[in-house]
Amino acid sequence: MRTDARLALIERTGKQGLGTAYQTAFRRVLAEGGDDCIVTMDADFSHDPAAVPALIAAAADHDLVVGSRYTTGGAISNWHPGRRLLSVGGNHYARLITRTPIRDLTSGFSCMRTDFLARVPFGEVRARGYAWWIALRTLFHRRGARIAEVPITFVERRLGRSKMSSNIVYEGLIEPWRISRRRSDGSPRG
Amino acid sequence: MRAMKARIVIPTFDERETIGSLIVALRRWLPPDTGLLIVDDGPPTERVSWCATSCGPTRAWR
Repeated sequence: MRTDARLALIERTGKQGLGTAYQTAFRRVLAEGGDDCIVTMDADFSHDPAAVPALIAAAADHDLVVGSRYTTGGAISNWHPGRRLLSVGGNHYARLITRTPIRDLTSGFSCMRTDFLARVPFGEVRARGYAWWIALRTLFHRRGARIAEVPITFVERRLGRSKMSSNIVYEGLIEPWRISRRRSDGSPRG
Repeated sequence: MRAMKARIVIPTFDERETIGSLIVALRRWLPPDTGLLIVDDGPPTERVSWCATSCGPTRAWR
């Protein structure tokens, strides 16, 4: 049997949500040390592995790099108009309420410097779906992160089902308001 | 300037069909010392099939 020491697996019991998956992974990477940055991406090829080096390169002088569908040069392939409208509208809504100047607040394709991430209270973010990204990026912005958006082409997943659900949409409507009421350190206002 | 050392974090649930080829593709594009960390919420019965041939000794970490 061939093994690869550079590949590690965290096994969790049942679907616990995107947010806690990333929290668990971030804690482990920060605890182990030795990495300058963390890249996050989907497993279904909706994020092009060929675009990863550009994200890492941009993290040399940015604390947060977002692989962006909505910055100049970004694109989406294979989305029907309704799905596109939901994403564009959701991003506009979240940007307006949280005042976080990132065009693609919900992209799962990103690169974060570990030295900056270690100072962000990501463990306090309760969102489980795409709103996790809105909350995390708002925390980065409020802490003065240097942020860049690198254009990507997002390709709708070819296999499996989309994770979009009514619960995720509801969370996306509520979470920006909750975030906007929190202090810059992530704690609730008294 | 020293190159940035990255860890790639990939959450999975029902992407068993694609995760293997994604790992291969990432290896093509990234420096050999780049670490990959998969966080899997899927059913354990399906997990072993893709992990058995590629996961290192840290597999049992939780």
